[in-house]
Amino acid sequence: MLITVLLILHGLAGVILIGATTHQTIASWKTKSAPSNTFFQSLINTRGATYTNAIVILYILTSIGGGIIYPTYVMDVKGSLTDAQMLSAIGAFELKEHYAIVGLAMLPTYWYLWKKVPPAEHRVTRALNTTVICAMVWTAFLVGHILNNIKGLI
Amino acid sequence: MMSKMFPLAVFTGVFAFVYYACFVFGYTPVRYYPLLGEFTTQDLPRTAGPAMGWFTWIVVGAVAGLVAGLAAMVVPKNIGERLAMGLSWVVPIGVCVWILIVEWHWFVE
Repeated sequence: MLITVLLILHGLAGVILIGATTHQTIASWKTKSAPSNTFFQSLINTRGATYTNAIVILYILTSIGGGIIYPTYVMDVKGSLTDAQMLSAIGAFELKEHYAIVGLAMLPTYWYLWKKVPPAEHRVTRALNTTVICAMVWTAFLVGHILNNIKGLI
Repeated sequence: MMSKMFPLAVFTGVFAFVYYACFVFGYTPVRYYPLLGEFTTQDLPRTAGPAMGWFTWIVVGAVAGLVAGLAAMVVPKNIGERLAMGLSWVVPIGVCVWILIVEWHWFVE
């Protein structure tokens, strides 16, 4: 029961993280100011820097949550996937677990670039760091969601 | 302004690289056995259930990154600043490509 609750909280934190990193990534590639008359213009005009602390905290909390439920995956899910010969699903989780840690390692530089470097400086580096973290979050979320669906079918 | 960027970028790169190198080369001095709920330095028999090295690799990677980051603080600012911007994303992306290459066998077997 506790693991189920943690899994749901882990997933919900992932949803918020996806929204925040996607908004920030779009904002980070913005090259010039534009009026926010349409939905897409509003999306692009998001103030990216305001998301930084929330993303760092959410990323760490989501990683801790993932670490707590990971042993359950190893004991209950991985064995089922092996028995069912679903090697691609196991491989996808391997990518998720490793990419998540690479993203974790990037958080200090990511935070520094958004909070300590003036906005007009090193825009491409900031955007690249943000985009990589965003890609990690999307990969981790999609793999986790798909695996959760697969386990429900076995 | 950028004096702290180089040590942080070194931390990022070394953490990511050492973490995955531990996995690839099987460096797992401490294993976690979820069935027993125990951390141990010993290689337990199969009856103990699956062993996990993930937590160890994270700690080893983070400690290596921390040590390297502290060491990077002595690098002259003018050299460090030039390297930091590229280092902050090139190494993580490189490690991601390495991960994809190593794990690719799962998708073709």
